[in-house]
Amino acid sequence: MSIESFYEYPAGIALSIFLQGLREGKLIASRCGKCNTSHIPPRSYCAKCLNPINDFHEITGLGFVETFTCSHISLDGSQAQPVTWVYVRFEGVEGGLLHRLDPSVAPEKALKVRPVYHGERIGSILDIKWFTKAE
Amino acid sequence: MRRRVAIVGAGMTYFRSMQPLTPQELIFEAVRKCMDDCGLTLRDVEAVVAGSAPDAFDGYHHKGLLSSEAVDCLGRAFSRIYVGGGTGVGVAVAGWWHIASGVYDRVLLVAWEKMSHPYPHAQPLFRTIFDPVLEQPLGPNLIWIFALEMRRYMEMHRIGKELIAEVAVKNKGNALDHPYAQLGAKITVEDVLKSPVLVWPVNRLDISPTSDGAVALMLASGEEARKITDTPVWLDGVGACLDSQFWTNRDLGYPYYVYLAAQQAYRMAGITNPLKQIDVFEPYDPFTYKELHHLDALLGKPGLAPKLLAEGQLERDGDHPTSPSGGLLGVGNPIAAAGLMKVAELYWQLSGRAGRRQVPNAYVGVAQAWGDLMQVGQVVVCRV
Ligand SMILES: [Zn+2]
Repeated sequence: MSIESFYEYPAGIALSIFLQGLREGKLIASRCGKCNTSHIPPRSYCAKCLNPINDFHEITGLGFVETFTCSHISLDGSQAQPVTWVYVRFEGVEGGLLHRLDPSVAPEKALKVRPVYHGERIGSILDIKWFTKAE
Repeated sequence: MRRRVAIVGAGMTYFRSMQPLTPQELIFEAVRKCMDDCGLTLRDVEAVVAGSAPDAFDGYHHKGLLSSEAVDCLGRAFSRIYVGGGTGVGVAVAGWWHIASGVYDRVLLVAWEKMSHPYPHAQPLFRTIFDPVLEQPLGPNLIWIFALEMRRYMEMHRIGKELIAEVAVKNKGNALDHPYAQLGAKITVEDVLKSPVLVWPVNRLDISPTSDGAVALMLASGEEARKITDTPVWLDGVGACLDSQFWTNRDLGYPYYVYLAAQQAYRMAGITNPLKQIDVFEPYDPFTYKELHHLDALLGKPGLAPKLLAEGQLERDGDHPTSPSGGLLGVGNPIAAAGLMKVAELYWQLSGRAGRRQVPNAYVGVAQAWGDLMQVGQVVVCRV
């Protein structure tokens, strides 16, 4: 038996703005007007204040590696070429992004990184090719 | 007014990969053993609380129904609890609500899993726990999230893989004495370190096996329990809490949501110093480091568990026996059933029925499970 179904997920208010930002080569965060907390990926409401958010702003893109891993298996569990994944946070912003690390860079804690974008972008998390070391 | 709740019986199936049995047959076997254990019949049951992980494993929706015949549901209240990997202990927590509230006196708990249905492996189904817009396009497998967390935990407390591997050695060794265990074995730290790296720093032997199995427990109100058995094990504290769906908002080094769930259960059970007052620990150990990560939160002291492990105190004959059952690493990990197995182990340990696994002087125990995408804490405290 197999279940055949495709799924379409709406990005919603805040993530649509985020994806539009990626298309333009920018990282967009949200800011709550009540508690002033910035968040990436952006949110359409503040869970602390239960406040709707209308303030979206570009951040520098200069982040740091919070933690990382190197996967030797593919989605189905079979052996695969090792790929390093990093969880990147940004100074003064809550949350963070999971993405690939440039294979020419060795991962380490607190490594300063920035996103590298593809030339052609469609409004997807994959518009970021990977994060690389920021000089 | 809140009523006291007791466990009066337990039963379980073998935990095995690819069991040639249907979910109904597994459930039937666990339930029958449980009823034999407490000397009741299904006629005595007033309500059933069932637990099983995602429907995707079975490719069959509303799969709570799979248990309805084996537990003879006609004329009884039935509910299915689902909090990811936390489901097994969550079932015990919800069963407690049923009785403590005064609504029911005799409640049957059953948790099961058939992880061998999806072909060729259950692994790709776990992808659906990630955010569909920002994370699923990256093609994540389940182990990623554990690897990111394990590395952060190792860094936070400056511990190496050699020490963490001791958890696999201990739990698989303990499981040799569990009659239903899937992966009891005498292994060494070197075996763990030399097993294939799947998602660094996670090696194959750091992970519990996928499995099929079922566990059933019978709960009763205090008054009923005394009629049913001379050796009730009291379910004196329960705690449950969730953190945000977004794992990116937490420090992965400490499961604060498990700490908060434990504190709820301890307050209810009058535990103020868990290290001193608790004799048996059954923290959730789907991965080696997770046992330490969770035990830290159960003790309320980040970094204490690895120290106790290094001193040999978590062994069955140590001062703080942890996963004397053999845990998920040794007994196996049929998700919801594995969590309820931990509660069953407290029942067996505290009532002196644990056979070769018996921990001496076991009067108070804590069991915990965890799940979803790193945000579910479910905790129960038992005592005799
Ligand atoms: Zn706010």
